[in-house]
Amino acid sequence: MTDWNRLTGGASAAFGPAGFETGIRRWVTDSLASRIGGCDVDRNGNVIARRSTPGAKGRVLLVAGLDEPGLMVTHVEENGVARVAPIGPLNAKHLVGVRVRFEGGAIGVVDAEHDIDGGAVDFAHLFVAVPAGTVRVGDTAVVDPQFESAGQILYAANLPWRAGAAVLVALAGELAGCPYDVTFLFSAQRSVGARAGRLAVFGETFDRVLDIGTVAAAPAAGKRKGSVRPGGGPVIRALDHSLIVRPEIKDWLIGAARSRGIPYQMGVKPDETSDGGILAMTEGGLPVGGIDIPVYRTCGPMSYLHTSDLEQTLLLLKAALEE
Amino acid sequence: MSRWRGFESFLELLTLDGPSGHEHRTAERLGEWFRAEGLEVETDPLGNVLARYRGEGGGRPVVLVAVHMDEIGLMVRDIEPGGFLRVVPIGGVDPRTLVSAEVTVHGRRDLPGVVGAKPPHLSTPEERKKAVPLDDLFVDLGMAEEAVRREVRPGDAVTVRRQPVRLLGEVAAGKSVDNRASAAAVFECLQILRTRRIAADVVFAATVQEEVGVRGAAVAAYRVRPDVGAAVDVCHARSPGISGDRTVQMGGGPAVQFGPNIHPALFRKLAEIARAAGVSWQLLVGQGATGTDARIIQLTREGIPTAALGIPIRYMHTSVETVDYRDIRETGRLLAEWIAALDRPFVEGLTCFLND
Amino acid sequence: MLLKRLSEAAGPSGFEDEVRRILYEELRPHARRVYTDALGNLFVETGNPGRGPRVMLAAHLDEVALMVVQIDDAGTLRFRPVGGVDERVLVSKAVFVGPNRIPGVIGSKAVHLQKPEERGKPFSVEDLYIDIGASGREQAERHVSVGDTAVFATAFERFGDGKAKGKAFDDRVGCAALAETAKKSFDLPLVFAFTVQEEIGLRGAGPAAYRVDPDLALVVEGTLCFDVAGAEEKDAVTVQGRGPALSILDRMTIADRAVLRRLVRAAEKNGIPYQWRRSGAGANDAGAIHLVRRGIATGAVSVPVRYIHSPVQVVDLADYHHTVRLLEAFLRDLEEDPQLDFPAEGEWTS
Repeated sequence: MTDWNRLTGGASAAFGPAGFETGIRRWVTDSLASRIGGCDVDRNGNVIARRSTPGAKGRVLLVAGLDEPGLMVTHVEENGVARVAPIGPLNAKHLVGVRVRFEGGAIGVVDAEHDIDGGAVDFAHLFVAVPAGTVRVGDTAVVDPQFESAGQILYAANLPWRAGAAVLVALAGELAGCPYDVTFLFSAQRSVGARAGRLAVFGETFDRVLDIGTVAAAPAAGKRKGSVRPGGGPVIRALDHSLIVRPEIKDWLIGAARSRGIPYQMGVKPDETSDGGILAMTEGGLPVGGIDIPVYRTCGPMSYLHTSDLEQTLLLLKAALEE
Repeated sequence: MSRWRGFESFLELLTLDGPSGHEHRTAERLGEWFRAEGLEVETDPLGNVLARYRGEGGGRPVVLVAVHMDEIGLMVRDIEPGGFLRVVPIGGVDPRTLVSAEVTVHGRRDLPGVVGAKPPHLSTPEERKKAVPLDDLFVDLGMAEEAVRREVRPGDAVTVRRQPVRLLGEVAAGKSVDNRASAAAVFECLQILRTRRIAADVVFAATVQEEVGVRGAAVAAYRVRPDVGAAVDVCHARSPGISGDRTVQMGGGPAVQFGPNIHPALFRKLAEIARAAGVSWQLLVGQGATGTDARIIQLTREGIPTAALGIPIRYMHTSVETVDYRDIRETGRLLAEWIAALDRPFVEGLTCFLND
Repeated sequence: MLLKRLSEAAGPSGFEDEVRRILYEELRPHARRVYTDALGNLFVETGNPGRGPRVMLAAHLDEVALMVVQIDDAGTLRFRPVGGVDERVLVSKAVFVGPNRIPGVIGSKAVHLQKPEERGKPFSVEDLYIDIGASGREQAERHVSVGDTAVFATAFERFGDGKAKGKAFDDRVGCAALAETAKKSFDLPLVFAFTVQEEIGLRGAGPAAYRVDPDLALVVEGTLCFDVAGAEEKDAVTVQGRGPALSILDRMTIADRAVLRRLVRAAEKNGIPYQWRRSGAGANDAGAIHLVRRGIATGAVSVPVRYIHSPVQVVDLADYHHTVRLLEAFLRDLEEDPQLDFPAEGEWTS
């Protein structure tokens, strides 16, 4: 069984806000080297790895995101005050008091200009307190991931954006016997609306595309009810903000899960734009499905997941690729 | 094999359930009718139905006529204790129209359900003043939770149940008049096209997923790569309290759209043809991208000269969308006469904005 | 002055004919090839087609404006905005309506006739109308049709300390800067793309870039500038007099490091002042261009424009001048060193 603690921890610790996926790109390319041989980085920052099989039954594209949301410095004041703009879906109200990490290693703490109790806070009110002279306009930061594991539960700020890449990296080493030509795409700028991924496969066609991501899981109470559970198995996606999965593709994945006795859940995530959705509707269109790993709290400065879901997602992908 | 039979077939179309991403029933029926009319039919990976009508002569330009075949709907998000279903919208659903609606849940089989909400007796006075949000609504299948879980999964589609209603004259009401009305106009158009000599090839695209962001048309236009594009969709008709420049008159004939989304020469051609053929038409001006497939067709590849026609309906995005079939017939007629007027030299002039 | 003619010409989104015509006539003698596409984008090809990277320089033709949507029985014209017009700026402005530039004014209920509670509220377009002096609908219809567009009747004028005021500097400063550049001789294949419909959702630039399929694109814009009374430096976005603003992040684009590095190098080598465009808000044609085909390396250079989208916009002509210089310096640098190195990573500042 895959060492999910090590793999996910590595992905989580790597730096990479959208457009600045430096650390995570290095982690993916290094991790792929031992599993699938070479891979390419295109000029948009996507990582692409291809595995071909003589007499393949068809071509499959597997996509997961590289990046995570982050902050960019737009103005530096004296005394170590940096004004920032969000890169991707970060909510100002979740950031006050949060520790952030800059690409160069500097640590900052997010603060608000005035008492925000009861009032709306937005980025105009926020600043990052950093040691004076450590950051410049254009520098980027992420919420410090603070990865930690406790048995089968893994904690980190960026799991919603990194769990998919961890699973795809693991899969790259376990494709023996897969009858398809498989292309792995680790996409840049996914968290800002899935901008860059599709550029990596412009002009190509695939018989199937699977988009691997995460979905908000089983909160407990109030309006946040939902039936997707951490530990309940991979979630076969029916819909996201950019994608409605066609019934025959859902049936393919459900069939794969059933035939191997893999627990699975069905889910929708109306708020997230995926590379899969963008791929489905650009150029001549592609048949796209999605599998999501349940993550508790997909927005905000901390999240957790269950390693069994990573393992079962890997098994479901292998099963689907053998169908 | 069934064939297009005018108004009756239109009413039949309104009985088919096909929310965005789940258009297979409508696609199958339209494909069958297109084949019966002698068109070559193919389906692309997103589910668009592309039906080709061939003109005569050499060097024929290709005209894409897009009519979206999806409708707004709902999708099951969760199954709650007791077997009640929570839903998310597919497309621009107004939750206020759903309270006490009857629905069909497309599970392993089609199941009838009703949309429930907290009764007024149990609501606070503040709650009663506000519209019920979708999160507070649920679908009741009248079945035990265990049975619901056997039959329904999160991700299953839900549509509003409504048999079409025939009103006075040729007026009909129902769900999915947006945009089955335009599919009907295409078949009315085909009846006329057959009596003309056409110097273009026409690809009629019954497109998917318009209601969630013109996704099908993006793919269809890219694949077909037409010289000229047109979208036929519904537009708002006047009704009490609703008037002004964003509406047209029901029974007044097709709306011809004008604005940045529309190629000026195609607009002029439509107006000229309508006058010559005695089709009564109405001007509908817009200041940006239209809310139709035309918004993306115009921007496909190097840019495509695009036109848009609107069929007036009342109560858009409800289950009682109301249309006058005479408007559908006239839209089909205008479309046919316009197509018959397109040829290679005209189409080639559409990229020239520098006439001295 | 070309900027004056461009500023005063009418070019609402989708109706850019006057501006397109001026540029066509201005640049025809200098071009290898001039043509338009199905949307009305204007392409001017210059330079040496056989050498170096193919560069597309883009500026948008269109401006925010108004469209007549109804003619009242009284002969007044109801209108709606084309693009992002701040409704609060409209009342008591002069406009030109339609292709024949019929003069009109934007009227409203006189303040004396308003109830006290009305006076604190901004006018919405529903409260306003264009008055062309018509005695009734019939007379109005002889001069104006529904669907005609109207633009602000603002005269271009130099004023103050090297500043100019006028309408539509967003993006006629870009059009003028491109036109000046197109008249210079470069040993590179250049395509100047004057795009349509930017103000209604970056609609023209994508198809233009798809057609041109360049190795590199540079967008030249007028951008947000809030360096005025009551504003703090952190909110200024750009400051007039500091030179062209280079984009690093906006709502639609994360800037391409390779292009930014070349822009910075060109500026520093030639002693041209520049500044960062410091905000994640706003967007320009780069947002559409950089996602075309396999992705196009795209930069954005902007002239700071105060009161952008309003009838009276203000630019610092020195910023404009430095922008024109930067374009030339950038292209000369490409002539000397045409090798495009596009790593996905690395520093972008110097």
